[in-house]
Amino acid sequence: MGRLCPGLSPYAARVTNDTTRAIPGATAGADPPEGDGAPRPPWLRRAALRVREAAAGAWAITLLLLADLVTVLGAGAIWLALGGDPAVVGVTAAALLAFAAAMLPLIARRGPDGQPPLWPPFVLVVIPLAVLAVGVPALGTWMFLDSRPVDVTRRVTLDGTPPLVNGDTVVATMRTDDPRSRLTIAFDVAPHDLAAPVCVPTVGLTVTSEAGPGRDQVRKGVPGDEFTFVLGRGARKVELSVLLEAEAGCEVNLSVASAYLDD
Amino acid sequence: MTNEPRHSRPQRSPRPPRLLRSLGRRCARAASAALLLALAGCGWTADGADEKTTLTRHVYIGGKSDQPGFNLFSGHTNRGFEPDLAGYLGKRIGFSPKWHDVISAKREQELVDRASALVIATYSITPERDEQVDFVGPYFVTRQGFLVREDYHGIRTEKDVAGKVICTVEGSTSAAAALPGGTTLHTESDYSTCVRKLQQGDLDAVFTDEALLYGYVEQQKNSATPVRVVPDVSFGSNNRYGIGLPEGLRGDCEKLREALRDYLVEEWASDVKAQLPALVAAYPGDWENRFRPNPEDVDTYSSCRP
Repeated sequence: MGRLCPGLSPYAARVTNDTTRAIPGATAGADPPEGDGAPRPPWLRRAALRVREAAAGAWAITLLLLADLVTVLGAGAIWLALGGDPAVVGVTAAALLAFAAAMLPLIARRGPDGQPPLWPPFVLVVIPLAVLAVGVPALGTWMFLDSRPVDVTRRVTLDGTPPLVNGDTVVATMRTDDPRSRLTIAFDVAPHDLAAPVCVPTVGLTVTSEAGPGRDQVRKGVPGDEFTFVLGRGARKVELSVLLEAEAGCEVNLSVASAYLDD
Repeated sequence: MTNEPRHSRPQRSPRPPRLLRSLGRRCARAASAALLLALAGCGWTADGADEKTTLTRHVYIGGKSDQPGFNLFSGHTNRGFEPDLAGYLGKRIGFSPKWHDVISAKREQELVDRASALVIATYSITPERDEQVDFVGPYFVTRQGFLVREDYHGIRTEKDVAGKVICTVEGSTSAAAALPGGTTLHTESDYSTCVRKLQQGDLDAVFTDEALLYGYVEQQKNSATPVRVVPDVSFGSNNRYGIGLPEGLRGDCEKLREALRDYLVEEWASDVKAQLPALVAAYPGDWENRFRPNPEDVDTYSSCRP
């Protein structure tokens, strides 16, 4: 054993010895029946016995512990995704992890009569395993969501009062906690009075960015066109002025058809 | 030896002779083709739109035959810009127009009830009407103006309209236009009645589409009380006249759209000159820019966009 696993702790060696004592059948039988007749190497046999002994006494509690930690970390990740304060979520998750870590020595303590501990040392792996089980998918999900455009259509407010006529200007304002470097926005124009002659196809829009590092960008188009503005890094507030051009007497309502932030 | 694999295959029912197989396939193909032809003949396309045409032989067209310049029934026949348009469309598509009268307020009902196959009656395209009927157009663009007696000068600007008695027709877009506060709006079932009352001195002005008003200017120029259109006074947005047809007749709509595009290029100007000389005289050199739609607009405003 020492030759094959020179770094293994004395504790591990003790467990191995306990195993051979605790399961006499396993040692007395020397070699289990082997279908292919080939003798197994001694180190493999010892490792198999160790695993069997560990599983016999501690799998249930190990799985319970793992499930508990995954639940705690997963709940924290979801809480964070749903808008939880990162500081509060982090402190809560850390406290629960610390509590779980503090429980481990208790589980590991031997009884007064020298009984083997409830769990073998490899149970320690549950903490990094739980962190990985939650952290890797959470990180992947976060990276995926972060790479997608953020729909901010409902966050854009228009300050104009309908109906709008030729020459009217409306200010569109949008605030976000998830700043990106580019905004793509489209406006919709509808007739104010359905009984009035059709005039929406005559409407043109001139959209100008009014605030932030990307100010004074001018885009022209018609309702339904997508206008793209470069916002610069960290812009949390976007302000656009929308100038309406229409034929005389044409009264319309303006709304935001779609607005997306992306990089 | 070579026959063994054949014998080991599962037994199949004996295949019919080649001639019979070929005959069967031909029958199946013929049946498929007949089914497709039958579906096409029924007039239904894959997207459910009705391709069946109603524009054959005699086609009933709802019109307003009291509007000089656009459509006036006299001498047992309808004359004006709209009968000229209908005649062109009939020649192109292959039908003979039969006019019958419809008042402004009943035009949608006329089409919904299929009492007329088409309505060509200075019928402005509006979003509200477009929900009930389909349109092909525009074939005319006009803003709205005021008709007054020739010797009347009480209206010179938009502000002067306040406090005046104005006549228009119920169910028209002019009746829905926002006039200044204090204006008394008087509605009639047709414009001829409005004009008669204007000449009698019961009203200050008639308010409707400028193009339509120039028809009355021409008609009444030799009367005891001639009328004129007030220059540069207008309310509401431009009216675009469309040809109304019942909803869902995609095939008819597309035929009319194509024909109307050609009409605007080929015969629109000569017909306006012939039927609306007062309008041409009012805007020398500019009347086409003001009143003729671009042929591309027909694709934009028609219910059956390409």
